[in-house]
Amino acid sequence: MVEPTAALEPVHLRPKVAERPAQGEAAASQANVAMSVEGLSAFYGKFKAIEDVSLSFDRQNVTAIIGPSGCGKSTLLRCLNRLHEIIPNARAVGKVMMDGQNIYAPGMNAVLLRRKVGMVFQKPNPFPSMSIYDNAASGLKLAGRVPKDHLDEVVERSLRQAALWNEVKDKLKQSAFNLSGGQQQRLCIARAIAVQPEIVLMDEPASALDPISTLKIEDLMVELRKDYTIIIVTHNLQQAARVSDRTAFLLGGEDRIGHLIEYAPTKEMFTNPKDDRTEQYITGRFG
Amino acid sequence: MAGQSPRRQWWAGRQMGIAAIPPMPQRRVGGMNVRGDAIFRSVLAVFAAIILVIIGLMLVMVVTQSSEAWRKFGLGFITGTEWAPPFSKFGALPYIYGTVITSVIALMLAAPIGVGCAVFIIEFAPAWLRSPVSFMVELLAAVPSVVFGLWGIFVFAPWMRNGPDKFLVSHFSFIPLFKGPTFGLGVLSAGIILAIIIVPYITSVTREVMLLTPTNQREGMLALGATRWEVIRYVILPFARSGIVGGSILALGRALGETMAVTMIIGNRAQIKPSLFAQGATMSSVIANEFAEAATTLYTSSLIAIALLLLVVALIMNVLGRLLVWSVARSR
Amino acid sequence: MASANRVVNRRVVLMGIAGAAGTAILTACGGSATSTPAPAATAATTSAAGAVATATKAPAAATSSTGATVSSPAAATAATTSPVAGTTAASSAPSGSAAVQPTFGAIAGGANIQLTGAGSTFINPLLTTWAQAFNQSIAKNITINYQSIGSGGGIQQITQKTVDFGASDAPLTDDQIKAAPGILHIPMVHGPVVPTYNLKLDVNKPLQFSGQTLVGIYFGTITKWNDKAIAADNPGITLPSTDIAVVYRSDGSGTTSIWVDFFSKISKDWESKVGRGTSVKFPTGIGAKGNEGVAGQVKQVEGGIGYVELAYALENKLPLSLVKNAAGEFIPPTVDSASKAAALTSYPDDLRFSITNPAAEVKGAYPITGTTWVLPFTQQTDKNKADALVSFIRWAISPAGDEIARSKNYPPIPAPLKAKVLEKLKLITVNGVPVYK
Ligand SMILES: Nc1ncnc2c1ncn2[C@@H]1O[C@H](COP(=O)(O)OP(=O)(O)OP(=O)(O)O)[C@@H](O)[C@H]1O
Ligand SMILES: [Mg+2]
Repeated sequence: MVEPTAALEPVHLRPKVAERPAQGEAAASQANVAMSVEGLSAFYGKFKAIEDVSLSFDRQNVTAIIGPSGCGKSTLLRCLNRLHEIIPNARAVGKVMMDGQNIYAPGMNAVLLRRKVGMVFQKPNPFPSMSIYDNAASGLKLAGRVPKDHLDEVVERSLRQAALWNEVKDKLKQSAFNLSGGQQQRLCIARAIAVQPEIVLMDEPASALDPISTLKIEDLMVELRKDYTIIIVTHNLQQAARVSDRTAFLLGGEDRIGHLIEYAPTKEMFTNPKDDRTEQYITGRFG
Repeated sequence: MAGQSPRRQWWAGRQMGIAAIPPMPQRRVGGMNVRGDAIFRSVLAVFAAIILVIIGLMLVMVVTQSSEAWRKFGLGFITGTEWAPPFSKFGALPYIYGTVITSVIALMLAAPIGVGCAVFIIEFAPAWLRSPVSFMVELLAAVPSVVFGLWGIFVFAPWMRNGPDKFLVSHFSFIPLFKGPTFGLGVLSAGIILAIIIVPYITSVTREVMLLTPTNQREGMLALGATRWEVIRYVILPFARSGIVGGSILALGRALGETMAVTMIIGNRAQIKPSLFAQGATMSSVIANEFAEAATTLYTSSLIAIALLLLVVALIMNVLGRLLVWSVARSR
Repeated sequence: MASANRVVNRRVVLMGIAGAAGTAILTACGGSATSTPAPAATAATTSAAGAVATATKAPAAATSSTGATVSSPAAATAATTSPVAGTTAASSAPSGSAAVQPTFGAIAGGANIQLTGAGSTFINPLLTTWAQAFNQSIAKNITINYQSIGSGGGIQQITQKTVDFGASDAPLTDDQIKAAPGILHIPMVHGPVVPTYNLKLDVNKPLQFSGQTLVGIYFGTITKWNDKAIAADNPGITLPSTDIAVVYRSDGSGTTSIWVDFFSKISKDWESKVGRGTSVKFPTGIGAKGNEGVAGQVKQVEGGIGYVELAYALENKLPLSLVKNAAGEFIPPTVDSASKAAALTSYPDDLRFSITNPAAEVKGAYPITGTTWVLPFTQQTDKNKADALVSFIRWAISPAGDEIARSKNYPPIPAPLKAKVLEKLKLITVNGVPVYK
C-alpha cells in the first residue's frame, strides 16, 4: 500500500520509474502494469458515454486509443486522472487500479492522483500569465513541492526532455504565448513531465499541429516511453501505428454508448484485427 | 442538415472546418437596405451627439457658475481648509480629503470582499446556491443608498460604536489612526458603508470575467495536481485581473459620487483629522447639505466649484484606473 | 353632520361667485373695471339678480362655518368691489376690527386660480394644511401648489418671479432685496427651536439651560454633563459625569439659523467666531441631516444634545428642556411661549425682525424662536392671483388659520403683528390699484 503522503515527497527525490520496486504484494504479472481499468462506465448526467470498459496499461509503454469521433476516447482518458468528474453532473463508475489502489475508492484524493498522472491536451494550453520558465515550473511550484534551488535544474531537464530547451533557453522569461503552436505543445509536455508523473495522458496532442511539429512530438513520445507510461488518444492511425505498443479500439453503438471493441498489441491490431468492426475502421470504411 | 437555411448550413460548415464552403450567402443589397442603414446611422449619430452636447453643456454650466469662487479664491479654494459660510470663507480641502479617504477605505475593503464573493459564487458555491447568491448580490446593488444610510444610523453606527470602535480605541489609541472619541459616525463607518454599497459592482464584473476563464486553462492547472485554491490563485485570478481592476474603477466612481448614505453616516464636519473615527465630510455631501439654503452668490458659486472639483477628481481617478487596466492588460 | 357641512361649503362658494357677480354689476353700472374675468362677467349678465339674492343670504353661512363675523353684506361687497369702485367705495367700507376679521370674499369666482409658492421646508406641513383647508372651506377654485425646496431656493425663485410667492425662515439680506425690489415680508408663523437631550437622571424633571450654558456646550468648552454651569442652571439635580455629545444640523436650515442667531445675540464670541447663517462651522460636534437625523443621533448616544423644531419635538415626544430668557425666567418651549416672544413693543417698518432673545420686558417668552415669512411682490400683474393670495394670507392669520396652526404645533403670530400684516397687504397692487383696502 502506498501512503497518500508519499506523493507529497519532492518529485526530484522520488526514484525514477525504472528503478521503482514493484509495489506491495502485487503478483509478478501485475508488476508491469501501471494502471488497470475494470468495468468502467462514464456518464454525462443521464447520458452514458462509455460502458463497461476494461483494459490495463503496461509500464513504459505507449498505449494508443483509437476510434471514431464521439465514441468516448477523451472521456475514457479523462477518467484516468479523474478530470472527468469536474464537469458538472459527470460521474464514473467502475474501478481504475493504480499501485494496488482503486482511484475511485472513497477517500482517494484526486489532487494527489493527478500529480502522478499527468495530462497533455489537444489544444496547447500554456498559462498566459506566466513566462516559459514559470510554465515549465508551474507543476512544481504548486504548494512548494520543490526547493527553489532545484527548480532551475528540473525546468532545464524537462524542457530538454520535451526537446524544447534549445529553442527557448534564451527567452525563458518571455511569455509562453509568443511560442509557436508546436512549441507551446511541447512546453505543455515539459510542464506535465516536470513533476515526474508515473503516467502521461495525451489527448490528440498533435492534432492541432503541422506535420513537422507532429513528427517532433512523435519522436518525443518514443523518447519519453523510456521513463513514463504513456496513453495517447489519436485519430491518426499511422501515428498510432508508429508510436504505440498496444492499441485500444473504442466504438459507439447505435445508442452512441462507447464500448471497447478490441485491445491488442498494435502490430497485431493493424495487421490482423480480430473484430470485423476494427478491420472496417482501420481500413477506412467508416468513422 | 436538410431543411436548414443556407446561412445556418454555412455556419455549421464553418464550425466543422469544411474548407469547400462558399462564402456566406449575401443578403439582398438593395436601395431599401442602404437607405435604412443611412437613416439608422444618422439616428444613432444624433443620440451620440445628444450625449456629447449634454456633457458639454454641463461642463460649461459648472465652469461658468463656479467662476465667482475661482476668481475670489483662486487655487486657495482647493488648498483652503476653512469652510465658514457666515464669513464667506470657502476652502474645499476637507471635502476633497473626505471624499478620497472614504473612497479609498471603501475600495480597500470592497475589492477583496467583492472578488472573494465572485470566487465563491463561481468556484465553491454548490450549483443550487449559485443563482440565489448572485441574485442577492445584484439585489444589493439595487438597494437605494438612503436605505443603507438609515440602516447605517440605526444599526451599523451603534454597533460600530460599541463594538469594533470601542475595541480599537481601548487597545490601539496610541496609533493616531485609532484615536477616540468615537460616536460610530465618522470616516471609517462611512467607508465601510460605501464598501457595502460598491461590493456588488466589483463582484458582478469580476464574476462575469471569471466565467470567461477558458476551460482548458482551468483543466490544465487541475491536471498538474492543483488544488482548487491553486487553480484560483494561478489561473482564475490572473485571468480576471482586468475584470477586477475594471470593476474596481466602476465601484470607485460610484463611491466618489455616493451622497445620501455617506451624508447620513460621516458626521458632516469639514475637518482633516488622522483618526478614522473622526467625523468628516465629502464633496457630494456638502453640496447636498448646503445647496438648498445657500444664500449668497459666492456661496452657491463655491458649492458649484466643489461640483467641478468632484468631476475633476472622478476624472483623475478614472484615468488612473484606466492606465492601470491598460498596463495590466499589457503585462500579460 | 356631513350633509350639513356640504351645504355650508356650497353656500360659501356661492358667496364667492356672488362677489364676482357684484363686481360685474358695478361694471355694468358704468364702473371702470379693468380685469374682471370673462366667465364671471358672463354669469353676471345671465343671472345677476339671482346672484345678488344669494349674496345677501351668504354671510350667515360664513359665520357658522369659519367663526368669522361679518358685520353686514355690504362689507363683503365693499371688500370685493373696492378695486373697481376705487376710493369712494372704500371710504364707506368699515375699517379697524372688521378688517382684522376678514370675509375672504375678495376672490374672483368661477375661474380656477392656481398659486405657486416655493421655499421654507419648515412651513411646508402647515402651509399645505392651510391650503387644503382654505380650498375646502373658503374657495374651491383656489389651489396652492407649494414646493418646499428650502428658504434659499424660495428666495431665488421669487426673485426670478418663477413663483407667485416665496417663503423663507430668514428675512432677505439687503443685497437680496436689491435684487428683488418691491418684495414684501409677511410674517406668517413662528418656529421655536428647542434643545433635546439624552441623559439618564434620577429625577423625572426636564433640564433647564441658560443661553450661556448652551453656547458653552456648542463651543466645546463645556464637555461634561456635571459641569458647573449646567449644575448651576439645574439646582437639585444630580448630574452624571457623562461626556456631552453635541449634535447639529448638517444640512443648511432655518432651524440652525435661529439657533445660532440666538447664540450670536448672547455671545460676542460666537458672533465673531462662528456667526449666523443656515450653515455654520460649528466648533464641535456631529452633523446629522434633518430634524430626524439630529433626534435619531441624540437618542442613540447617551449624553447627546441637539436642537430640533418644536413641532417635530412634540410630534415625536422628544425630551425637551427649558431655556432662560432675558427676563431671567426658565421658559418651557410651547406654542404660546413662542408666540409671546414675537409680541415686541415695536416692529421695524419692513417687518424684517428677529425675535430670538427678546428684551427683558417681554415676559414669559421662549427665547429661541424664529419667524417664517411669505414673500410676495407688491406689484402684481394678475388680478385673480393677487386677490387669491391676499385672501389666503388674511384667512391664514384669522382665528380659523390660527387654530390649524396650533393644532400642528406652530405658534401663530401675535395680535399686534397681525395688524401690521394687514397694513402691509394693502401695499399689494395690480396696475397701481390696491387689491385689498
Ligand atoms: N461535457 C459533456 N457533456 C455532455 N456530453 C458530453 C460532454 N463531453 C462529451 N460528451 C459526449 O460524450 C460522448 C463522448 O465524447 P468524447 O469527447 O469522449 O468523444 P471522443 O471520442 O473524444 O471524440 P473526438 O474524437 O471527437 O474527440 C459524445 O457523445 C459526446 O457528445
Ligand atoms: Mg476527444
